Amino acid sequence: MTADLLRARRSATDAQAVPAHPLPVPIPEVREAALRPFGRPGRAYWVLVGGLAVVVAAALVAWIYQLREGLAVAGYNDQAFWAIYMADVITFIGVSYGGAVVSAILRLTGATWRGPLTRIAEATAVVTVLVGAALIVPHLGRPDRIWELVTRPQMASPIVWDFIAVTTYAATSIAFFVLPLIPDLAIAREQLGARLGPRRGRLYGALVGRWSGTPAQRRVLRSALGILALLVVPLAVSVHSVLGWSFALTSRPWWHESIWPPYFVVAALYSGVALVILVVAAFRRGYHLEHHITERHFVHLAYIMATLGALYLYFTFADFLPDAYVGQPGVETVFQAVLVGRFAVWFWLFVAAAGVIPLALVALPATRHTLGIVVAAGLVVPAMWLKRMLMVTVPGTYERVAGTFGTYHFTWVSVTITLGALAAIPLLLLLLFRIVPILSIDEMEELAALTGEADLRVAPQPLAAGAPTPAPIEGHQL
Amino acid sequence: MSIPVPGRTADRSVRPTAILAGVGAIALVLLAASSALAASAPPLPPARLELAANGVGSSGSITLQALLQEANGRPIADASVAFFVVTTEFGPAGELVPLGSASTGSGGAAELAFTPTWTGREQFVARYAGSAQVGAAQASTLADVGIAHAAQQAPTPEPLDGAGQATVIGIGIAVVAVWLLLAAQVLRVWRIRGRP
Repeated sequence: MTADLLRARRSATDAQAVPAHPLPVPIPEVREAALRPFGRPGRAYWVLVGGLAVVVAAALVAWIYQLREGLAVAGYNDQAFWAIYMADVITFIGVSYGGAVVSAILRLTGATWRGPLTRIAEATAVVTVLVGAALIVPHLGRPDRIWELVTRPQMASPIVWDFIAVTTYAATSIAFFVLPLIPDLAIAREQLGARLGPRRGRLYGALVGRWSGTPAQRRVLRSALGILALLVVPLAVSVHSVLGWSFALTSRPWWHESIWPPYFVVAALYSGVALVILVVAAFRRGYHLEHHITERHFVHLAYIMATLGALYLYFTFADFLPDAYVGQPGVETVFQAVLVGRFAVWFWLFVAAAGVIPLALVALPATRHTLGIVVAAGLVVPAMWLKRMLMVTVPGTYERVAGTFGTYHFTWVSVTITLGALAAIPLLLLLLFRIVPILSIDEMEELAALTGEADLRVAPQPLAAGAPTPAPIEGHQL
Repeated sequence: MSIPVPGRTADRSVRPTAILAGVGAIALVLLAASSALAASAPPLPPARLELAANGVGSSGSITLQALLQEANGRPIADASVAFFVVTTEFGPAGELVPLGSASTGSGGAAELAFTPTWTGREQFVARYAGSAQVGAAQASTLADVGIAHAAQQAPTPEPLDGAGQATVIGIGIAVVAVWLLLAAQVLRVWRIRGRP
């Protein structure tokens, strides 16, 4: 009796939920585009995957060599004790937030244009945080020390909190990526049938269960995703704040700055949004998703990127001004080296490449198109890595007693490992989108139903004359 | 006019080297005589020194009690007695670590309170340097120290003492809450996906 009452109440609740969230209307074009990477890849795909895999393998070899010979082969010495790997960790974990936070904020604010972007953004977040977390291993030098973070944690150390924060954020971003997959995998299973293949079939079966998209199932999923979106934002902020405190809690010129945690957060979001633009542009072009990911999506992302870029420039100014004005010993020497000294070329290159040029490209209507935005994002990502290198190595190599700077030199080992990590991101994404749909099918269909008229923002549009025809799933050429 | 030059005035004058040699010889004779007299002088009567260690097992503080007397048993008052503990930290032969000194009272007793920093069987030593009337003396005793106090003293409380620990606990609770919330959401979806 009670069960019947509960069922009746649930049905009533479901009925009430329908007007707010109408059931999605299948859009065949969206389903076809989302499942396009499942087709037989062309030669370009395998060449790209093979090339990236070779770079990743070379990085593994370099790491093994470093394990045998020590961190000195990566250019580390008693003066440069934090260097390229720390800059890599900050950069790679940082760019992860762009994907997660963009997806979370767009979901929380109900931005209806988010549909074609969320899957790629969330996948980028997951892949980059895993690669960034893996880079901590070569940075530590001794992999066994990671286990000691668990068995003998020193709670006063920011490294322990880094470990906790990154682990928590990674788990949340994985959940934030996997849960929305459930309805999409159900659709893909239904859509592809036997063409899904046995391995994908087993995986889908385990994840999908008996999902049929009932209102009750959708309500729970929507609620869970809303809570996860709420969790992702503060977690992303906390992780990079902790990374910032790893420096700020050290009594060293230009590291011991109270502004660094929020400075790190803004930098992470800025470079992260830029990376999302690059990844979206690459997969859009590679899989011919132009009819679903339009220039309008890039412009929206570019506005977010430009806002964060302007904020980052302001933070940079706010970081430099007080210490430069007061001119404390140590900080003054470091700032002189950065602003007008031996590192000035790199610093002003960063200002141009991550500040002035991208902002101009987005601000000017003539360059505010897909190509201009991609160029802007393509400048921001490496320039932000360059800034991290300056922030890590310049104060790190400063000799406080003598007031001089030590030296750090790039080596083939450190460069190879960095390039390997860089190559791992597109490699993992290329492989991942062979397993899961590249577009959020269910979300796009739901948004289309919600906005009515299949929503021009996400719905397939008539092909313009001369536009490339979407390739069929079978025999798809990249 | 001529100026007389000393030493050249007459051949019969005494040379300075001869005078020095004579003085030296006299000094040697006197020194030998005094040594012989000293060697033959009677030695000072030795003092009697007794040492006891009290309160080693219970209070955590040891009272070293020395009793200084002349050989005939008469107390020696207002004499300084130094107290030591023997340590083998610096070698198996043992070294004396000074603990302090105390003056004897009218009864010849001197006391020194000492808080040991380690436990175990310890050897304590008391020394009297002697005086014009009595000779030096030394005594030792063994004691089993049961209670000790660390030499390091607790730091003075600072204004933000404890804030770090409270912060760690607070953040730790927040982290656990996040994990629980995350697990709950995954579980919710996992369960509902299994229902038709």
